[in-house]
Amino acid sequence: MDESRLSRREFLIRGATLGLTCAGFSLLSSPSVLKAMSEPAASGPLDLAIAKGGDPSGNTIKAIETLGGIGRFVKKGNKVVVKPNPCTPNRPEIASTTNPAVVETVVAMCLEAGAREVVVLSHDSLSNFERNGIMEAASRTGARVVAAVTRDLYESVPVLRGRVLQEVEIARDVLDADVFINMPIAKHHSETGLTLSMKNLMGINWDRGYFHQHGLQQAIADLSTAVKPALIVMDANRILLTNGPSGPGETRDEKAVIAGTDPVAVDAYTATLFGRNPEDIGHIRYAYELGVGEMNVEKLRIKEESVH
Amino acid sequence: MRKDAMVRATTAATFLVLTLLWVHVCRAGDTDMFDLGNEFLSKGEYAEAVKAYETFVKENPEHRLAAAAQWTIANIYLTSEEDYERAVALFQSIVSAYPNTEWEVFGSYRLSQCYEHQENWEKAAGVYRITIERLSLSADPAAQERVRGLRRRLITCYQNMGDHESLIRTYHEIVEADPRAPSAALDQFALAQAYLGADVPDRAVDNFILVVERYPSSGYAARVHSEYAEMIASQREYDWAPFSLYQSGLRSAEIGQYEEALTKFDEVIELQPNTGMARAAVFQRHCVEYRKTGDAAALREILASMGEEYPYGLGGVDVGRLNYFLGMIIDAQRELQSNPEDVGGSYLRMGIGYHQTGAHFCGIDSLKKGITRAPQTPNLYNILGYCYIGVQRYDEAISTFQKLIDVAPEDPNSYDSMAEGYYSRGDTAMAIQFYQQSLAVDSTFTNPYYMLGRIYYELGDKERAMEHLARYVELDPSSYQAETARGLLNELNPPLPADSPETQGVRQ
Repeated sequence: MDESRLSRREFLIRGATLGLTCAGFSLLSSPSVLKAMSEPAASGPLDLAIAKGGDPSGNTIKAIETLGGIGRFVKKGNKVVVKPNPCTPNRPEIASTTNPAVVETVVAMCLEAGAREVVVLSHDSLSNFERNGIMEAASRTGARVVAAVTRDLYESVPVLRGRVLQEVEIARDVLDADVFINMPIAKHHSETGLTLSMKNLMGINWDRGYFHQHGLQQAIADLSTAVKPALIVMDANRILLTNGPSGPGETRDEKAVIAGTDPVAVDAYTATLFGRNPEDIGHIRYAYELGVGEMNVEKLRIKEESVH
Repeated sequence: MRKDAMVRATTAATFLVLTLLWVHVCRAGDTDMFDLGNEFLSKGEYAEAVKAYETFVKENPEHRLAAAAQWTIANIYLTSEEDYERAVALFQSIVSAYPNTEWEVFGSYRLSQCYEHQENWEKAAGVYRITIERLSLSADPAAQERVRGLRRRLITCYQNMGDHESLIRTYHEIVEADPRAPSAALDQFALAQAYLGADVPDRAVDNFILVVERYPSSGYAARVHSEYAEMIASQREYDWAPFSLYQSGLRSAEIGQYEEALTKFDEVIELQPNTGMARAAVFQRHCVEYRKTGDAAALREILASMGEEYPYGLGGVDVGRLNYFLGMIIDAQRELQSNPEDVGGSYLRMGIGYHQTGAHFCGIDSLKKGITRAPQTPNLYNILGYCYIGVQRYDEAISTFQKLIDVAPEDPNSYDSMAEGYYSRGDTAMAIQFYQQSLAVDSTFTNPYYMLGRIYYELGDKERAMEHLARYVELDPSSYQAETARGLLNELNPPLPADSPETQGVRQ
């Protein structure tokens, strides 16, 4: 949770207390007014931190530092689950999987912040993890890799904000985690246009077939209402422009990492790297409609840093 | 002095009120209460969530997230509180408040769901129909997908209402909307059964015959042949020869008698030129060529080029599944090219792909190569054994499964596979022994319970059959085999009729 803001519970209590002390002064008991008084709209934390120009590891460190540092998200003794995109056995040259260097950097930062355990998890085969280099990167730092390919690793949770999903089976490790970090790669996708952070969440869910059968774009947006990562680290060091999601296809060296906490904002900004209007990507628009986050890039507080 | 102080205080208070009002207006779009609702929701504190969302909607009725907040409240009543009356009222208000939006479409769907929970099938069907009509006008492929889903719900409603006419009309709509759909054979079959239910046997026969002629590769065609041939014969003369030849061709292809298979498919094409069955036979010829050569890429190209020409989905072949496994083979072949030192993983994936697409000989070849490189990989032996079963080389299957047991003696699946090898060879006693051994290794491993239940059922040992099938259903209630297990259990121990003395006794 973002600590610079008043906690929600505290907020209600304060609102109620003030309301009592100012009986008859109904405006004062309105939490939105209190909020406005305590925190001007223009201030507040960044929505997105973008680090550009360096190597994958350097960009990752800079983006997270700019967003407030890993300590803003990971506390001593936390269990952290990291979700890369290991959906193919391809190495990072193809840009269809999260760059292992980005994964390794984030895991190392979490451990340095005092995490008691870091799990690198996805509903993909162990063979993919082994071949695309993520297994080796994770092992070097001491993270545990979970290829969540059996149903007993999942637990059903309701999706009460969803429009097509009413429940999903989510990897238990994610539900048990103190901190969940989503680490997608930015790439083209033949069905959804692009696969970014929200689409990457399909890899913490058991029944992907259901998504495809019931309107993939809406199901992706629905899933984002049920699982909110504490942090999103988008690997846009090299992006796959065509023939996604598996590649090989045309790629471009964007040399960027985008960090944020709002999945819609991260995805909307990343979509612009592909020359796409975020509104035209179904799941971004639907997630915005469901109140998952902000898709209007011009409304976002963005800080861009160069890494040399 | 006192008066001045009062004036100053009044002015200050007025200023404060105006400032607060201004702030309030400026912040009308604030989403804090919405966020708070989300936070309560994520903690499962639904009553608090409802309060927060309601406050948000009250304070921000025009906010773009007001619909999302109302939607979530309605869903809480529907799913968590099971208060269908309130949910109905809320979904109705969403549907009327947000016309021509996604909220209207999804709201209608949920509204029908509430009616279904209330077993008000007529109202549910009414709303489904209206939604289908609206969505049908949309060019959006996702909308068409939703129409398919809604039609299936309509079927459930009409079945519960006993409305045969509407049921038949809806099945017709489903079949005509996408005769290539993976479920098309099932839907055509269900349509025929619906006609039977409505006591219109001649139309039932028409549709049963369409299942056979359009989808001869599907299991439903085989079911028509085995379960309804007599009924069809009572209505009209029907020549089963082409279908029998087609089925025989499929069997020959499955067990590796490729030349015989090709001859049979050629005969079908000659007997039934320009029909669905002939087109299906042409595709099966390509499949046989693929099984001979293992050229997955070539078959995939044929799939891509022929798919559109075939109005009935290549005769009932599950095209999506076939494509998936062909893709697996192609990917594994690519991986092997880029990494010739592979230690067996690519061969395993190729083996699985070949096994699942019926190219068992190619599978055997790949898996043997894999075993040479990685002789300690259990799955290579497991799939190899199943490939041998596929081509009816049971002794080789059994000796392969013995190697699997040697490599993975702690794995209950090793004994389960061996049992299947014996069962396929017809050696029931050895099959029982190995299924029991599998359970001795892991008493929660489910498949042996199902298989032992079936074997005891076949042997007429009712008690043991029921014991094992019941345990299977208990352990794996949602698997596809659980339905069959429940069917067998019902057959072995039918539920008592409502007016039987035993039932009366239980009631008291």
